[in-house]
Amino acid sequence: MTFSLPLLKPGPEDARPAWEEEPTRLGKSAKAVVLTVVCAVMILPFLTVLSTSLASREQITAAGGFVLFPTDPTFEAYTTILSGGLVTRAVLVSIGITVVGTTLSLLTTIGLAYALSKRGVPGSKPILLMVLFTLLFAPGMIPMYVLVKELGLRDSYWSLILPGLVNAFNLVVMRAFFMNIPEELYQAARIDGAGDWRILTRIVIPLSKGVIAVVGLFYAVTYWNAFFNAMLYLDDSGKWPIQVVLRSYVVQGKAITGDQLGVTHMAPAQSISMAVVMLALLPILLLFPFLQKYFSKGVLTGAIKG
Amino acid sequence: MRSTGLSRRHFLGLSTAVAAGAGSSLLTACGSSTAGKGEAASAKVKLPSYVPFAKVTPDLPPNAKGLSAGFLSYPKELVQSVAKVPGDGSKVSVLTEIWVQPPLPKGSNSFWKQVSSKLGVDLSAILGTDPGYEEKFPAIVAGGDLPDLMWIPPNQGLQHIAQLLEAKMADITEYVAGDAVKDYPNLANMTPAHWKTAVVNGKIWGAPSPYPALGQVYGGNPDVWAKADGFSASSTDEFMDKCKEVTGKNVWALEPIYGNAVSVLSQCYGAPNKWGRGKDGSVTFWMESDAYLEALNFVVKLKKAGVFYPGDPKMADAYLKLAQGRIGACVYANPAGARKDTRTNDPKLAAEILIPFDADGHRANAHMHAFGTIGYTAIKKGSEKRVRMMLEILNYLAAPFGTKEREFLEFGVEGADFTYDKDGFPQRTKKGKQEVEGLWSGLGTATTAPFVLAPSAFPGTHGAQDVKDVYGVEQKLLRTAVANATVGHYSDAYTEHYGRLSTEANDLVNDIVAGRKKISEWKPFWKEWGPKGLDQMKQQYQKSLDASGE
Amino acid sequence: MLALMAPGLLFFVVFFYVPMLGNIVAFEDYQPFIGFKDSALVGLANFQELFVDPAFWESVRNTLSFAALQLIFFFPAPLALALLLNSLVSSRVKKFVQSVVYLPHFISWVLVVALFQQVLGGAGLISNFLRDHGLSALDVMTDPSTFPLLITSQVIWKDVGWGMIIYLAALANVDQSLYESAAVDGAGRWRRMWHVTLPAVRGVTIMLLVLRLGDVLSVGFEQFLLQRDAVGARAAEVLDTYVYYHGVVYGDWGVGAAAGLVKGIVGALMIWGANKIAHAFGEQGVYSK
Repeated sequence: MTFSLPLLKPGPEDARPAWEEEPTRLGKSAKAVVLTVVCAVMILPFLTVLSTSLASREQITAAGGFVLFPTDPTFEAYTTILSGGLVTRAVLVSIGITVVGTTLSLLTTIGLAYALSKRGVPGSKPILLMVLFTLLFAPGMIPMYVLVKELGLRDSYWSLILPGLVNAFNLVVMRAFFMNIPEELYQAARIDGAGDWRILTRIVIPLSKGVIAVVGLFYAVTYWNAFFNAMLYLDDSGKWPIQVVLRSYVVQGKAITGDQLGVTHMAPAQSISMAVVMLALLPILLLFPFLQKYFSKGVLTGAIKG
Repeated sequence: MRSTGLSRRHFLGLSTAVAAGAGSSLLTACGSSTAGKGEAASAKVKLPSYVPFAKVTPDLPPNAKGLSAGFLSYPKELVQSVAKVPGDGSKVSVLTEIWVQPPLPKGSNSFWKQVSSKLGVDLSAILGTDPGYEEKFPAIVAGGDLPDLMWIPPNQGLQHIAQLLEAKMADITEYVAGDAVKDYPNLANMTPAHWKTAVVNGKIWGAPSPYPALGQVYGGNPDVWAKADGFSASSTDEFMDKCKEVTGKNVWALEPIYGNAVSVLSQCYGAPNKWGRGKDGSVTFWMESDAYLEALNFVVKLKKAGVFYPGDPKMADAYLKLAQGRIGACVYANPAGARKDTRTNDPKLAAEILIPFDADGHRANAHMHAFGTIGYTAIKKGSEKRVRMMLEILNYLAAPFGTKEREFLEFGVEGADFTYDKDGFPQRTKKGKQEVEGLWSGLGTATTAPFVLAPSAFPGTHGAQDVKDVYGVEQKLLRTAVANATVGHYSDAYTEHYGRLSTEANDLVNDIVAGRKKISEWKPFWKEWGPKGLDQMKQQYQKSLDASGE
Repeated sequence: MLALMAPGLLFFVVFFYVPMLGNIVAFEDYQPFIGFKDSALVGLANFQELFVDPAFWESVRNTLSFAALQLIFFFPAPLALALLLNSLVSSRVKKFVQSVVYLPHFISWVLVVALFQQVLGGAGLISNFLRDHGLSALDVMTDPSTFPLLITSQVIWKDVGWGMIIYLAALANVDQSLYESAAVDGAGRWRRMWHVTLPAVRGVTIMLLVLRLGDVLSVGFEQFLLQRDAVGARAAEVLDTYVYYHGVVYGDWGVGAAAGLVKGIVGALMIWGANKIAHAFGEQGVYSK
């Protein structure tokens, strides 16, 4: 788990500013109740998943599926999965794809977002509309497959990165944040003779760590969760990323097309299904705390003053 | 032994309504010229001769009706079924699907190299996953570079298969029809029922992918039904009473998958197996039959009596709830699957199978046969030599239980990939799990020998008893088994309208049983569907059946 | 400047506009083994098939009502949560809550539905408790009349924390000295929220709102497919499941593509309209005038 327990003890940075009034008791308790309920509702199912992944088959059968607390915890589900020949390799593939992909995506997105955020650049509105257009329509699976094949990217790791390099939503979000940077900062920089590259690296990026962290997280999660493209473009199972390999442990029953009468249900060992859920999200879980510092108050305050 | 076969549980439905037109059911709409011509031609095909494999004698013999062979122990002396290396050293690619975790890739998998050398080719495999195959398949087709061997599942939204076959794949009829199949003795071990599912447009397009031939059954948790003297009934009243009796404090008699409930219980009313023939030989559709409506009515009564588990009709964990004792009975793909699943969740639990009873004393009860296959593997167009080499490879893959080839394909090499356990059954080592299991899942999906019952398929220590029990159940079911009348026949209208008909009909079943719609809406629904395509399907099947003299 | 833009532009041309040409299948009777070029052209037949089908319009109606509920109840939820967290003093509590609320986003719909069943289902925790005490069990998982609320609460549960992250980034950019000067000027807690906090997130919120409106015909897919049988098609069929059945299950690529184009055109009109309204209120919207 990524959080420490003595939560309620205020940290040193948590002093209430002098100008802020003491909260009312009602307000304080209302907040406490709301947050406790919200957290409980969010975390209990998650703990159930964790417990079930650690429970024995007997206990799961006795409970009929989900276990709240493993009486006799075992890591068997995890060792079963991790001893599969491809899992370690697939984790490395996914980490590689996520790191390289997120980096490239961020660079491309930042570049284009900056260009489109600048006022008075000719042609920027048509380009923006062209980008927005991509949010509304989809090229379809088969044309994408044919394209990837024609570009020679089939069975290459690039087929997991290039087709999703820039996401229009992320681009538009980033552009909106860039546009919120006070115009005076740009003007001041230009008076100092700074070019685009300098403005971008010295002003825009330092002032946009929050949104870069958010968009980076969005990209990273997308790359980490890559399943469909990998399944479609990679024939060589040695190149498969983690989600494809993990899903093979929980082959899900599904209604076969044209025959909804044969609604199916499939019960892979429940503990393995749950262990798969945990393994699939663990790395992302570990990533979040590192990004959180960019969401704390006053990131911009210091920058403007300094 | 067919551990992969039994775990293909998501094919549960396959055995039922799906592939009424067998292989040809995949075609869609569009009424292309090639497809249109198929109707009459399907009828005339000469199927390969059935020459059961004689070198291994099972403890419990199979038959051509679909009874599985049963083995009570692992054969002591394995026999050789393939005399010479099939391949000529060239590259061969196969597209198939796996149902377990993927094997180590070709480059780092020594078993894979051995398979290549035994087959005499440089084997590469595109291993589709679930979900995904139904997308990957059309994408590969659209991409243009087809592999040498392609597994063609019976549905999964793979469309225009007939046109694809005609355009890209080899017609193998002349190589396997009649006694010609004796060139490939392991393929000759497939029954005519198996082969029929690989017939499209009156031609044979590939080696069938065998699967248990028995259809959907209710499997019950004996501990729950003990209260009511076991999971059996001789009339609807008795069935109803027993369901009510076992339903009690947080226990319910049946899983809430209403479509399957009506489907399985319609057997008790003698409904046709999807497509049937009336007394005058006319083609009938089961959901339109009075028998089906009666079964639907009965299920509505069961629902009102509160014996269905109060869950949703897509619940994913019904089998677990059955093992837990919260649900009395679930529908399984086939008897072997039912027994295997309960043993997996609780080794002490042996599913009891409900033998369809005679609902009201004057009608024939029936068991609906499945197809005995999950599709077939087709061969890319090529020279006769090349196509025959592919058939040799498929022949190797179809090596029956008890042969050296089969043991090698399923378990690898003794010592490295597997060891024999105390009962003499092969058990994969860690290396075997990483290298053999996944590749076997894929190759066994492409084609394999007809399904056999073996103790090692059932977790726990009662394997031999399970084989005998399931074999016994299969015998009982086969006594009243009826086949789908249209297997091996083609209807263009079927491919155009059936997907929609089936979805809408199942929606209506769910709505009626759940009380959202009235049962009086059932008949008008079919009346409306007649001119919307159902009549046309019947006419086309009729024509094809008449032409073949069936 | 060109160097900054080029990679992104090239991406959109190569990986979007080129394969977009494949949407020609909306006007074809497309067959994968024949190809895009040689499949038979059928004009507007695929569109016609959509527009004459009452089930299509029913799915559109359902989609719009689910979208309306999501806009009213789900859309503001992440913002509200972000504001609540922003008002906390303890950064540890804040970080803890942030870490917890974004967890459900990573749980698949299959599992979300299973977990909801576990608690709210007819044999779930609450129902079993009620039954044990002689009361009647809950029916919310299978009741079509409450289905829209169920769907909306599932979406909120799953994605409120995930949606919150963007707002956190916006709030992090607020100049803290503004609060102090407002307080010195005598502004209370609520006035500071109104005059300092909200303006900081207003632009982002409006932009997200416009984008959401552009996507008004998408309300989710798997969530509905999984629960369709429980409440019936009439209550749960949405445009995306309709397209799935007609395009994939019934096997017509052309109808699927046609529905995609219809969705895109409606989305474009929505964005254009919403952006106009935003401009009328003096906001930036997604693109400027």
